[in-house]
Amino acid sequence: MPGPTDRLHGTLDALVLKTLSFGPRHGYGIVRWLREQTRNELPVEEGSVYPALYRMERDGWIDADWGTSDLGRKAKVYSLTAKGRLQLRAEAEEFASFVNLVAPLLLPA
Amino acid sequence: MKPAGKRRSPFWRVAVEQEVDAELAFHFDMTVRELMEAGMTREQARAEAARRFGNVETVTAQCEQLARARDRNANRAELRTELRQDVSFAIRQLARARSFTAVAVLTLALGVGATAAVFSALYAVVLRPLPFPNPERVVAVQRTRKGEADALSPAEYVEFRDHAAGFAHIAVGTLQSGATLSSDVPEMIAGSRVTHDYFAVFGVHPLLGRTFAATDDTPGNSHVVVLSHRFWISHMNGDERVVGRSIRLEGEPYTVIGVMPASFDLTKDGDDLWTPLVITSADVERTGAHYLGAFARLKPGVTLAQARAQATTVNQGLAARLDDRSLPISDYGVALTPYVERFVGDYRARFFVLLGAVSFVLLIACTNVANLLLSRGTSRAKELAIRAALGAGRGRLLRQLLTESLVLAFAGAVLGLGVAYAIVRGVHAISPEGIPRLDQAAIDWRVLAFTFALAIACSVIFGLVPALRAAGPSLQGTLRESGRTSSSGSQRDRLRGMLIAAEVAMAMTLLTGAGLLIRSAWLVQHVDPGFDPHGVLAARIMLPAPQYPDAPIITRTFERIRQDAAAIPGIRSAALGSVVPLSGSSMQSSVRAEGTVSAETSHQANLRLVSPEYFTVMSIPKRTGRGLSTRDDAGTPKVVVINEALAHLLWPTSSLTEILGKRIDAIAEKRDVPDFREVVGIVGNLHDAALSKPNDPEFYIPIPQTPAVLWPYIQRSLVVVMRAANPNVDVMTFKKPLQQVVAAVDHSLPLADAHSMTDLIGTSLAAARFSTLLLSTLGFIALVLAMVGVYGVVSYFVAQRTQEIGIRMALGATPQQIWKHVVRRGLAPIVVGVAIGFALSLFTANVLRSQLFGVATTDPQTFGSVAVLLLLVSLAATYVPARRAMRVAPVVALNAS
Repeated sequence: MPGPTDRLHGTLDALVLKTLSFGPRHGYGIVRWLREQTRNELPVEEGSVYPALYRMERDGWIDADWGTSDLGRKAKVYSLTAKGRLQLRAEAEEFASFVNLVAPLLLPA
Repeated sequence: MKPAGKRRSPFWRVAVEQEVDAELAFHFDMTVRELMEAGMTREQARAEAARRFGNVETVTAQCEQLARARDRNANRAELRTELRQDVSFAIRQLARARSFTAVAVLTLALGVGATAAVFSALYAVVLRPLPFPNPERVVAVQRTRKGEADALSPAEYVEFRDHAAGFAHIAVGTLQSGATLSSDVPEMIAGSRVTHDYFAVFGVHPLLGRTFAATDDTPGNSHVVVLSHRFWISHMNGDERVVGRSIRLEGEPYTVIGVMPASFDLTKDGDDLWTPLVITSADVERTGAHYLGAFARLKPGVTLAQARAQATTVNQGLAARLDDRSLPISDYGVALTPYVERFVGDYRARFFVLLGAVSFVLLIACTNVANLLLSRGTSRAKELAIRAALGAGRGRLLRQLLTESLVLAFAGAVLGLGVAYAIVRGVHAISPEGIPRLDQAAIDWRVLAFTFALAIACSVIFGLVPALRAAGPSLQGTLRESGRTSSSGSQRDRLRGMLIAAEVAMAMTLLTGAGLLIRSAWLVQHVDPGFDPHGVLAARIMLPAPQYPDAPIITRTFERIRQDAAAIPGIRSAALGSVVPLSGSSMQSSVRAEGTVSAETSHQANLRLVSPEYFTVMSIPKRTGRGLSTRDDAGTPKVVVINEALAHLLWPTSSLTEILGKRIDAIAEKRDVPDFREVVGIVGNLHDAALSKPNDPEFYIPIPQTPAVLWPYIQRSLVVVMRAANPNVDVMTFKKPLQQVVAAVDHSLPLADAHSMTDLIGTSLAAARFSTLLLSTLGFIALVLAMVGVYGVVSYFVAQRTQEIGIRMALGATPQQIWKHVVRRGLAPIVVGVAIGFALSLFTANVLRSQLFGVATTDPQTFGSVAVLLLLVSLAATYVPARRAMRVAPVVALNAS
């Protein structure tokens, strides 16, 4: 996946982790939360959240289990692991320092 | 990493495709539902959901791929966790059964350690590649006559060098030993004179300076020397500016041109230094002188067979030009032996025999541990049955039991490394000098790798069958029987019996091999060498060419040394000889009787130049005629004394007295002019090459009648032999007085290798004695291990049958009957094992054939005594448990359950 998606990768991961930091959710719930927070301006296709989830699951940042949705359907529910919590903190700090560095240069555009 | 066990909940057993499909479908349905709630129609909602989602195929494919990777990781993590669980469980289990673990680990350590030690020696001596490029292409070159190999003549060397196309390089050399004066004290060195291509044959480059150039082995340029690393360190203190310096060899100055690397010191007794060997045109004329050791490097792509065929053609071409050739051309041949083979010699066979023997010991050790595990399996049957009932699969139990074996084997291997280290140290301490590179045996990474590979193999060998048994399908039965002695017990007994039989068979084989070697060693030790070695000291003295140029002065000087040596207090008599028997060196010449055609009737015989006193000093018995006399000198008719073996070779039909007065032709100075010598006496035979070899034909020539050309060959050297008045004295105490005697004659003369004759005989037997000792030790270990096994099994049998024995006794069986019952059960597998071992020994004894002396490979005495020994020791091993059985009190036995 070239270009902008690549750059978004880290950010998307961080956003998903952030979402899960409030409690376990299924994939759809994560997407909806993200959509609401960005006022329907989510800059990526919804589908791309899933590979991110599977990747983070593989890497042990998040954990998955079959749970039941609000409507009684079986759904895969994700939750943050200790490792994922650390990762979220690291990404947030990195992003903050990036913003601190870049913002003064770009903002008076 | 989170605990992997949780991940394997049954829900997760769905296929990856279903997992991804279900999840994405759920997402899609939820989006559609949400959009429809916001007022879209179903069609609109579906279209919008699909648009928002993006490319479903791509996402699905990515997710499936990632999910598979996740599952793989999880599986691996699970396996690791299980292994860790198994290992820690195994360690706990083994720690609990302390005496079982101790016995098993010690047994394995002994077996693995001995095997690792033998492997380390085998690697050092046999398998380690020689330290030069493509060592397999370096060959020793010999010429053959009717298949008998001999050294090259200068003519043959020149012919091979110029015409044998298969050799990239060929070089010849002769020994160069003599005095050096690199410091103030004269000292004997052992080096080689070699033609300039010598180092190119081996492909080894000097550490310092250069090796020989093509001009160095030409007359007038040859006073240059290349030093070995060892000599450079010991005599030059490793001085890097040594090149260009001068050292004195045999009284003449030589310029150091180079130093070889340490790796070229192949053995401790290798060459100290090398000087150029000049082959003159006069040398080439003398086609009968075969004294050059030759080495060649094969050209790339040329096989040994091709090179040999080419060299043979060249050799036959040379023979065709000889005018006095007496053999058909087809009798002339060439033998090429890979250098490695020559270097390692028969140690390859010896060490592989040892490896075979030690692997028997290891197998016996494994069998013992297998037996222990079988017994343990029985007592653990309940535990395993419960675990199986709680859901552990058969594979899972098997894996856990094998892990236990593996832990056991690794513990044994670690301890075994200590054992191996101790054995290697011990071998270094007792090993004879002559085994090449044995001093380099060490516990290195190869031995480590070998040991742990061995441990894994062992754990399978001793662990698999007991584990299969223990985790077998009869587990439920065990629970039902509530631990009572089950009917499958007899099956286990049979397996145990088989294991014992195998152990005994292997022990029998080892002991028979050791027995045959011990008997050979005993017989060799009692061979009459043909002379009396007790109280005799032999020391070689060399006279340097510049001060001792011709035969008269050489003869005079040696005679003076001999007289002074004979006058040393405590010395009864002294004599001179060119070579002493069993010293490892010899000088041979072809001999023929007068009146026969040359060649066909000529024989190779050992030549000795001796002073008249030699026969008395060495106690070589006279058979007929006279000995040599001081009147036999350069001016009188040439005479010779021969031994019986040569007499029978030359005149098979004559009696000894008839032979006196006949003449032989030997060591003629000119090839076509016979040089006859009259046989004036015949003496007894002796062993020269080895006590285990047949008597050698010998002839003795008075020193003053030595052909002048011989002196340079033997480097103007003779051996002074002295017999002490008291045969029990340590003759080495006479070394110092002899040195003083020699120094009084010429203070620059060193004594070379002074030995007592008994030591020389000892050395000639050392290698054989060494492998006999090692094999006997292994045989002893095998015996002990096998007996431990027998004891264990019989004890177990008694322990298991306590109840049965009690019932029998309650029903009136006498202790004697019980004793018989137990011993019979104990001895049955041993008798079977001895029978199998007997057959196996008949087969393996053949492997030892070349190392045996005086005994047949089927020697009934050895076979018989080993069988009796095994039966007796086995009986002893069953004695203690059988006694215990006899003393079982019926009440106790019945209450035992």
